[in-house]
Amino acid sequence: MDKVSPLLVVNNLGHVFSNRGREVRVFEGCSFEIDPAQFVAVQGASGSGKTTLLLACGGMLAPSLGGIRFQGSDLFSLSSTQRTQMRAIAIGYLFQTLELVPYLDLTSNVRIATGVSKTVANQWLGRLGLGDRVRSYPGELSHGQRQRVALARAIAHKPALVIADEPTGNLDKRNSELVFGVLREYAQDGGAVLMATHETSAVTFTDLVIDIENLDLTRAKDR
Amino acid sequence: MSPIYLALRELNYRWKSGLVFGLIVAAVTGVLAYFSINDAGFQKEIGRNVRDIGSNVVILPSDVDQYAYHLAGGYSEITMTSNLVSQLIEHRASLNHLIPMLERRAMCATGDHQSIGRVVGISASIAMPDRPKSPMQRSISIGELQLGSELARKLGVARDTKAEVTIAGESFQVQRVNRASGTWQDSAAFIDLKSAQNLFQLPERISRIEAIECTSEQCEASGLQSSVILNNEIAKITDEASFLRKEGMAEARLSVRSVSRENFLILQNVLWVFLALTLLGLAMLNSLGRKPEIGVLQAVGYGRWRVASLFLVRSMLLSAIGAAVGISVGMAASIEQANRLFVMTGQKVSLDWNAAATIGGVAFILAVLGSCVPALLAAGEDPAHLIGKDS
Repeated sequence: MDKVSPLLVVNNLGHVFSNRGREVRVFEGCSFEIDPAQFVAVQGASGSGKTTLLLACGGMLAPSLGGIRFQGSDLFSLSSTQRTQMRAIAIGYLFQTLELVPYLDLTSNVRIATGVSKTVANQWLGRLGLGDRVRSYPGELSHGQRQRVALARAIAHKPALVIADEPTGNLDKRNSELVFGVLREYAQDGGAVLMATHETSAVTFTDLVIDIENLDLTRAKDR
Repeated sequence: MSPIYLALRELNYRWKSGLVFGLIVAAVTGVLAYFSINDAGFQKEIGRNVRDIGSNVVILPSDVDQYAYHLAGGYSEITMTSNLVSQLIEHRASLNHLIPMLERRAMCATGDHQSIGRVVGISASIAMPDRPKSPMQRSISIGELQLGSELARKLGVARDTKAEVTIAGESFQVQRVNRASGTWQDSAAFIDLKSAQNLFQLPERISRIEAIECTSEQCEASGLQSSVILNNEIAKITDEASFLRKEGMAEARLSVRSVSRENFLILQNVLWVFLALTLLGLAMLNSLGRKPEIGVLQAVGYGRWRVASLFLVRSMLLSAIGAAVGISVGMAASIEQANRLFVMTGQKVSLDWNAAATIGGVAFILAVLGSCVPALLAAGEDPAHLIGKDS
């Protein structure tokens, strides 16, 4: 069987930012690949650079070192407009801070992703346990519920890659498993998932775990 | 999802902030509109008051000995051709409200009184063709006469009574007795210029032309004094005439006009700067305060212009509504106030659509720039720099 072309290739990535004139190295020498239909978790302590790595992989933060190829293109050689178009079609992002639009109801929040119909938006909300709240506004929901809306927005336009930053940070065990299950199913349906998480139970759902502190790639099946 | 839909949803959600923005636009544009109309009324009223002070330039035959003229209380029997009026008009002299006059001292008589009076033939004031103004002096009907208050007393003619005055054998019906003015005019009788020329057998002759100088623009442009400009102009037209300038009156007139104009210009400029800063500041605050939202929209694939269009629609809508309300209220209030404050000219103060369009247009452009530019700049940053940033 032919090897599938990787969807995302991270090559020797590193990031440095300046804090009050002092250089802070977040991570360096990070290399991995994600294939279509692969569910990858990034783990590491707070401040180890998980969010920075995910932002770079989503084309939203230019890394200081190394490169990222997505669907065969060097992500940061593209123009800003091309990157925006690529995000619109091929990447779904769930921010750690969620960033729902406060003046849109849940359906519309999901629909701001490109090409999502009302029906599709409501189906995803229903699947994530929010079917009876589609007309509610983010301000009327708990943090856990908002997290699921943000997941629906990241996933509803069927991107090639879903990036989820701590998607279960404030969820109970049952809802965490619901979210991991949805992401697992998404990967099984052919979409790739890159997720940062603290939860050790996530390992049972993923194909690959990256320890960003030790840059150790462990295949879940080898565990 | 269309930017208009998103902008309307946002406005519905943050209606208080939208209301404040709209009210501030309305307040500032309203004040500007108010003062632009108010200034037009003020200038009209100043013009009327200054005009009513009277002529500040007298053109006399060049043969007149000005010492003797002043010694006689501003009177001379030397005449010049009345064609000079047409010549001044033809050469667009820097004058307006030209009033040619012919005067003689003559015996005036009623049934049982008689007295020497200064009989003045006077024409209606003549406006320069390119400087149309309401007449400063209206014509006196042929066969009628206006009496100065002191001459009327000498002739025993009371106000509001019918009387006939005979001058050099011709009878004139008293049209009115003028109120005391405290000048030589109180001992004068005014008749139509043509009648005076016939009466004194001096056809096409006049004693002097009174006028108002219009030299302020040329003074500003050339740096020359008004008297120099007028002297040069009259010297080019004729050598039969010279002019007297009533300095105090002329200077007061210039001063009142320029001070009021400059004062308004300062006020107007301050208001424009205030309008600009307020609108730019408000629009920028709105755009900068919504950075995370810009980041999210970019993250889901909204390009720079699509993001900016959200802010554009919001500002366009609010500035258009705010300016429409502000300008309407400002103009209505100003016209209402002009009717009360400017008793004589208030009725002539009307809506100034040019000012309305300028104020509305500038407010609109400023609001659009103030919101669009920061939104475009923010949308040019990496989304990661915008997400999670509070305003």
